[in-house]
Amino acid sequence: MNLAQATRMILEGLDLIPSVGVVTPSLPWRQSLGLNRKEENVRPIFWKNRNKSYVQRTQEWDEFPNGRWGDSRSPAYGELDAYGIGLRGTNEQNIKLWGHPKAVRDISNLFVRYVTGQLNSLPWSDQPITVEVDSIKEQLIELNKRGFLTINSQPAVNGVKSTHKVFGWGPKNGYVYQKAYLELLIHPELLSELITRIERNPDLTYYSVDEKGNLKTNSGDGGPNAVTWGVYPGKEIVQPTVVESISFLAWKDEAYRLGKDWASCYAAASPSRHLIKSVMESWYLVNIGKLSSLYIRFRPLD
Amino acid sequence: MINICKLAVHNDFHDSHGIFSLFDGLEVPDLDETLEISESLEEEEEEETHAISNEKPTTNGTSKTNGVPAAATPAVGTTQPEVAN
Repeated sequence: MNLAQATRMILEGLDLIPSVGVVTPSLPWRQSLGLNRKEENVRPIFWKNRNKSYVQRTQEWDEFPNGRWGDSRSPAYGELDAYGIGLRGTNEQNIKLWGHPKAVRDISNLFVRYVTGQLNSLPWSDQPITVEVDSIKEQLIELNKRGFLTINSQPAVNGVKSTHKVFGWGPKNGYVYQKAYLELLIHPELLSELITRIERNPDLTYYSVDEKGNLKTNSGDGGPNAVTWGVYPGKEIVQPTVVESISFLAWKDEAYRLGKDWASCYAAASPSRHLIKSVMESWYLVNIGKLSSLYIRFRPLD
Repeated sequence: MINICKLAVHNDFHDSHGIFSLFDGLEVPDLDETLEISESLEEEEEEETHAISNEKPTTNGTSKTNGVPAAATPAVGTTQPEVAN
């Protein structure tokens, strides 16, 4: 009876062995194994496709956001020059991967190839696109074809089970939610029209910034705003992914730096270098979140 | 309560495409326009990139370097004579 096999057989016979089902992650982003980060359970969405860089830039923090994102003035992100934050790969590897763009169309085609899974990485995404965006893939392709370069996105999710194979995370018997989120590079001529349209809809929040750090937002004080949350039995609501202004500005530095690193892969007088550099110097980094809502209204019968 | 009230459920979570309609009719101008690099810029950058040039600097038709007659410029490896006050 001391053998594991016998014990297992008895437990199986009593139907006490949990079935091997879908194993969902405990959080929607990949947790760091660092001992000092065990309690960390909130991150900004901006580094969703650059997990290692976020860990690198926050490794000096004494404590990590836990439960909710704290004072937004406190996070001090590490320098961009540290190892592991800049563009990966040699110039030759990157040129082989992303070719020699000579027009904005060439850059947008790279984004389309990334969204369709034909390209495994972009300067702003270390890993291939995930199945999470399948439901909005057609819209992303269409946007990129028209020159809106989508860097990060997530579809709205309305209370799917926490064991859902695509969107699920956290303990079982819970439900997870997501706000629709889109982050992209916008041509300067289109920014004011876009902001006008956003501001017509009170359910939409945005942050817009240029390379120099000129920030515009309709999000009041720019405080943390959850874009992913989960509801579980016997627990407070978990809000592991947020949008917040100070972090967005830190991400902005990294995003523009990555673009410039890409430009520097090409010879100084090459059209590719000038094209990418001009995009980085004049286009805006914009994120848009949609506040979805669920409420029940009681109306007296007529 | 059910007899006197009508329930209206508002749920726009299912509208996962709400953001995309913002971009209706918008397109980045000159998507296919290739960037023209002017020759002067190209030359300038050539100089920036390759600091070593075989061309001699322009001397405006004189043989002076920095205003000093060519003959007065000491050859490499020679010692410049001291100037008596």
